[in-house]
Order: sequence, then C-alpha cells, then structure tokens
Amino acid sequence: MAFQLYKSEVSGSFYSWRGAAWIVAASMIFSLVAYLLLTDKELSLLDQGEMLFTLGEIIISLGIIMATTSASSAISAEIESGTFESLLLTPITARQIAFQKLLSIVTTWLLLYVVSIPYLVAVSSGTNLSISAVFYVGLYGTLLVIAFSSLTITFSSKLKSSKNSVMISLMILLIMLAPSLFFATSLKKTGFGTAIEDINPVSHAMNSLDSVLVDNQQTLPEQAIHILPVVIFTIVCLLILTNYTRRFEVKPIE
Amino acid sequence: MIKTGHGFLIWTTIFRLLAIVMIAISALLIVTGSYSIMALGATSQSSTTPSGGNIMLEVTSQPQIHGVAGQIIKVEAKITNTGSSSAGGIAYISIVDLIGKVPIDLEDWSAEKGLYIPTIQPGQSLPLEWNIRLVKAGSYTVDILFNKDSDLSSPPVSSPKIFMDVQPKLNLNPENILPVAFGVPAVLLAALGSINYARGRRTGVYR
Repeated sequence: MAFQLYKSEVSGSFYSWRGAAWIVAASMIFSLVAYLLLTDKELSLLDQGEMLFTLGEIIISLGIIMATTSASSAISAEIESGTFESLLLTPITARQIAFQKLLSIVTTWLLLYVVSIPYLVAVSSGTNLSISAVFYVGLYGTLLVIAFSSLTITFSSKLKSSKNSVMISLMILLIMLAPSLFFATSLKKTGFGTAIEDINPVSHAMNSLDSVLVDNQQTLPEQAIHILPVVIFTIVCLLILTNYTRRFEVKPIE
Repeated sequence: MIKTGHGFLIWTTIFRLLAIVMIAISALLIVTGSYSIMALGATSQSSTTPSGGNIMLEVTSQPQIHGVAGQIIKVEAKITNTGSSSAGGIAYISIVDLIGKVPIDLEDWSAEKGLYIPTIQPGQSLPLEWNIRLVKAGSYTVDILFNKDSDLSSPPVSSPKIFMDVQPKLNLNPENILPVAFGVPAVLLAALGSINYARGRRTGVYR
C-alpha cells in the first residue's frame, strides 16, 4: 500500500491527453520565451546572463503556480467529491496521505524542470553559466515548490473548499512573487522594498539567480545568504504540514 | 590702299572685340571661381567646426560611427571659447533616427544627457565626452549642442553631425534556440501521442 496513493496521483497527471496537456503547454510557454529572447528587438539586446535570469524566473514562477494550484485541491477536492472517506479507510495515516500528495506534486515539478533543461542549456550556450543555471533553477524551484505545496495542502485540508484554498494560496503566492516580478528597481531600493525583500524567500531565490547568472557569483558560499532563508522557509512550511495533517475532518465546511 | 587700310581697320576692330570678350570671360571666370572657392571654404568650415558667436564646437571622435546594438561607444568633442568674455552653459547631445524620422528618447541610450559647464574662459578649450549605449539597430545622426546661460534668446551652438550606423546584434545563436523551441513541444506531443495510442490499442479504443 506504500506509495499507492502517490502512484495513482502521478499516473492521473499523465493518464490521458487531457491529464498531460499541461506539460505540452508549459513547453510551449518556454518555447515562446526562448523565441522572443532570440527575435524580439529589445529582449534580444539583453546579455545572455540576463536572458537566462528571465527564463529562470519564468520556470520557477510557473512551477510554483502549477504546484500551488494543484495542491490547493489536493484534499478539499477529495472531500467535495465524497471520495475522501474511502481514502481514510485505507491502511495509511492522514500524514502519509498529505505527504504522498506532496510527493506527487513535487514529481510533477521535477518533470516540468526536466523539460526546461534543454531551454536553459540552449540559452546559456557559449557561456560558462549552463551548469549553474540548471543547478540553481532546480534548487530554488524544488525548495519553493515543496514549501508552497506544503502550505497549500494544509489550507486545502483545513478549509475543505477548493475554491477558498485556491484563492488564498494564489493571493499569498502573488504577494510573495510581487517584489521580484512587479516592483520597479527604484522601489526595491527604498527602505520598504529592501525590508520586504529581506523577509521574502521568493525574493531571495530570485535575487540569488540574478547574482549567479548576471553577476557571475556562482559558488554556493557566495549564495549561502540567499539559500539559507529559502531552506528555513521550506522547513517551516513542512513543519506546518506535518503538524496540521495529523488527522483530517471529513465533514465539509458549512 | 584704301582697300588695304579698310581691311586692316576691320581686322583691328575684330581683334579688339575678341580681346574685350576674352577679358570679360576671364573676369567672369575669376569672380565665379572665387565665389566657388569661398562657398567650398564655408562648407568645409561648417563640416568641421561650426561656431555660434564666440563658442566653437568641434567633434574630436570619428564623424562616422559603425557599431552593433548593445555596444557602448564614446562621442568626444571639444568646446572652445573664441570670444573675449567668459561663457557658460549646458552642452548636450541629440540623436535623431533617420529611418523613423524622429528624435530618440535618450533614457536608455545615455546616462548623462547634458553636461553643465559653469565657465569657459576666453581662449579656453574643454573636452566633452558622452558614453552612448547603442540600444536599437538603425541609422542615426548625433548632434552636440550648447546653450549659453547668458543668451537665452539665440539658438544653440551646434557641432557637425555625426552619422551613426547600428547593426543588429544576435546574442543567441538561432541554430541553438530554434531546434529546442520547436523540437521540445514536438517531441512531447509525439511521445504523449504514442503512449496514448499504445494504451488505446491495448484497451481496444483503437483497433
């Protein structure tokens, strides 16, 4: 019975055309970005490091959004469709259910990451950034996907409503992505911008990618200042998941 | 005798007339020639160091620039006060897109658009320098202009034009990008299609 739920969750993502359409859509997004970096009048002027950074940001952001959306209905969809009782009757604990759901989402991310590697290698060809780009995008993507999925599965199990957990999770995600994606450089340099970036693990991940790919500071000790907050955030989210999934209540919210 | 004398008079008159015509033509040629030389001199003057009153702007870098988009080039000039009193003002650059026929917004092109010069002493020359990032491919002209503080009503002093030809730059190699951009989705579609078809054959959906 071990990992049975995990296997069924993963196979559900690839069982049919509809189940696997997301991976083709994701690859088309990466293709479009790569094509624009090659042909767009202004994007093509960027240095290769900046192009890689842009592509890395998109891969990680897309991975987190997909993981959060998928995780937000992990438990609540089972409750809403009335299949959760039968799941609880199986000889696996509530925590195992939560962690196998988490593992299936991380597997989905890993597949997305594998698909993104040819794009990272193609954009970085001719530079010394290929290995670093693949490594750091994988590192930060995996850590952030684990963190956000853990948090969102917790919301899903406590709120028992897919709609509510999707909304709350996406709001949290957008708030955390905002400094990296929407703040202008001038705002980032203000006291407010700096404070937000210091406490935001997503900003740390993006700033680290910037430092590695644009400023060529590729070694792990140079990036420790950014890696540590992301690791701490991931551990805290995993602890939240562990703590709040000891048992599930099946009754949907009134 | 009379006949001879009459013929001589005729020939003398003809020679005199010819001489007058030749003198007139020569005079005309000399006058027009000197005008041409003067005009040529004036043209060469304006193409090297046009002056406005007592200020002279001279381009010391190449008058024609050939670059690649993304490259940073240096435009250098010299400003000289040829007058007897000191002058001050702002020297600035202006870039015009010859294809689009519009002036360029220098926001992305140059960090420093204008240089304030408080005083240029009589006879003094100062070097001017701008670093320009070639943002977009195309053909452009660059002018260096100087607005005097003391004379707000007169037009700015301008330098000779610098012609700039910017070639497009491809940071990425299309031979690396295009196979991946078109190949990965195609391979994924083919792989998923094959898996789906094999599963359909096994379960009897496709016969």
